[in-house]
Amino acid sequence: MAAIRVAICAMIVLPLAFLAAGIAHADAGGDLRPNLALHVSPATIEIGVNYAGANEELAGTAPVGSQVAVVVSTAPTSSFLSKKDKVLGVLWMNTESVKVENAPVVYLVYTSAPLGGLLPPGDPLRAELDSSGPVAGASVVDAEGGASITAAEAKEYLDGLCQIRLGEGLYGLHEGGVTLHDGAWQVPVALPSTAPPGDYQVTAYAIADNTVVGKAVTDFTIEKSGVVSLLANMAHNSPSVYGGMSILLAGTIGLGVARLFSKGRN
Amino acid sequence: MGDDMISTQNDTRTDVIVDHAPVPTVSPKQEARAHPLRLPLAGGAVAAVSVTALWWAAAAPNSSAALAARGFPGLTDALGGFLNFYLPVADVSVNLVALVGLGFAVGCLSGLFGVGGGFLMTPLLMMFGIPAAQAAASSNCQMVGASSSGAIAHTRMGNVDVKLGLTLLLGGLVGGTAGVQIVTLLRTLGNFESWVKIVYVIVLGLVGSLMLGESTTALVKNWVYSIRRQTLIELVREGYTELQARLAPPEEPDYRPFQSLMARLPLQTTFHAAGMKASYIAPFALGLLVGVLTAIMGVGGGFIMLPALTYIFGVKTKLAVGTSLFQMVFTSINVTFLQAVSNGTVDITLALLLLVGSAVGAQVGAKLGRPLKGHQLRILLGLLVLAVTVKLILDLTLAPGTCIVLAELSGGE
Repeated sequence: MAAIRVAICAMIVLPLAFLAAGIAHADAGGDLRPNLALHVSPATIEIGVNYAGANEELAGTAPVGSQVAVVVSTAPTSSFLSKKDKVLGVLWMNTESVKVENAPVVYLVYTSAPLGGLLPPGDPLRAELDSSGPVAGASVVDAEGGASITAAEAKEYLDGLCQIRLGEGLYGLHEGGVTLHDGAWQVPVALPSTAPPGDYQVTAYAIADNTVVGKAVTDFTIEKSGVVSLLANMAHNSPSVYGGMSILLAGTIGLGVARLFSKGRN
Repeated sequence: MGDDMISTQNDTRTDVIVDHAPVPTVSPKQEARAHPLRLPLAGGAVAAVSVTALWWAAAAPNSSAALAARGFPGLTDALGGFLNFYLPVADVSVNLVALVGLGFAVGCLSGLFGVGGGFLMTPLLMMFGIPAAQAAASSNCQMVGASSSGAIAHTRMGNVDVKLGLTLLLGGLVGGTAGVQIVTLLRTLGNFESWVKIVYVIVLGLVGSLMLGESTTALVKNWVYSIRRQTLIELVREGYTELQARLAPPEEPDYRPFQSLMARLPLQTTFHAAGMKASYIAPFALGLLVGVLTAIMGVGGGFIMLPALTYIFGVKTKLAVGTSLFQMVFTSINVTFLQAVSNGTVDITLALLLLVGSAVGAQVGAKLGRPLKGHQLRILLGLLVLAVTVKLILDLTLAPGTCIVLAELSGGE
């Protein structure tokens, strides 16, 4: 009898304990619902000799009834831009150079539904996800630290930067790019070969009823590997050895091919 | 100007200015065996290579890095991306076949026409999405290999005047060093690409139009001469024997412009192998000019050095080719080393891939060029050079699609 009583108690207590543990876990996770999960694969993209861009698979789960938005970005950095203008009436040359501070090189946004339906126009996150999101926090200064840049000029430069990076596939808003099915979502992120080596941050948002109900953050890395890394480091760290090696190799190959052909002729 | 050169070019095919390809030597027997179709075939090859070059030009409205991977998309897909090649220093992914093919096409043209081909290499690399500075420095590095193979061949044939070569070299070293400093300065100004293009337009336009003008004149002269000769032969046959004397080929005057000017310069000396008496200053100045251009444009300068040596200094074409190659080996070594150390722009893999293509292409080109006469080759080359010039002028003068461009220095750093 005692055994049966213990079993009944266990049947009642254990589920309650699990429930309590679940609630406690949710509390530890903050005020947002717990079941937004985010996984990236692979954790490291290696730039080898045949590298021509790569696909990063992002996947996870989202609370039932919510939509998903994902941002893949590099850390904000400085970029230099030039403006082309007519010189002497005919030539198009760079006339002004500026430094854009605090804009990432890569900023790719993927959502499971059109952005307009996810968040109201004034929402700060919506501004971040929008096509002008990558330069939302950026500022423009003169490259030589001289002339001040007006707001209109700054906008022209920032729009220009967005256009360039959009064209290279480094920026982009892909509405409907995330496939969401029964609370499981996934998105393949195509990174062009021009995406620079470094750390990439991935932020996923679960959005329901115009509000963010979940947020998850993770990262992955793109790095040069093998011969690519060896040569790039050598060119950077010991340029004189690298220069000497380049000359020797070029000379040897040139002489080798010429010899090959002169032998073939005889 | 240059009458002596024209006549020699018509007489012997060996006078076709050959840069890093061995000088094609054709015996009269071989010439007789040349198939009549070889001329149109060679012409077709020239056209095909030029069209390929211009197709690249048209396919790349702006030098965006996104274009680099496009190469031959169908072929790349078929081989599962194996043909993609990531350049570790230029940080651009390129198509292996397209790159070696570019080296081959440029090598073919240089074997055919006998100029280095660097003047085509750098702008074509820029169209591939490779930044101007890396394109120029790496194309210079491949020239180390290209010129040394040619120079060895010419030394064996006794086509090198070492004293003249060393004087040119001294100027080239000073000019090359100054040129690298200019490149460093231009890079900080962020206007490097435009400056490279402007220097190109001026130099290419000048060389192209001079070459076209000179070779067209030669073509017309040749034509007139042969008609006149034919008429004379017929008249002699009809009995006007007193005209026989006029059938003898005209004496070619030893024409050396600027000779009096050069004779007045101090430091006079004799360059024995070249058979030339001149001041040290003249070849030094020429070397200096070519050295600066080499550093800025990534060009060996053969297409300036050779016309200058033959037209201005009166050096025989073969000797000019050998001597110019001899000094080019050292100039390109110097510039490659300096570019690697001060700018870090030499991409060894890019240079070697181009070199493999261009070394083979130069040999093929030299064969293709044999049935063509010197002035015919120079007309085609002149047209090609002018086509590149026109493309660059359009780049500089047509309104760009976007006025905001990423500056050279930012390159994702």
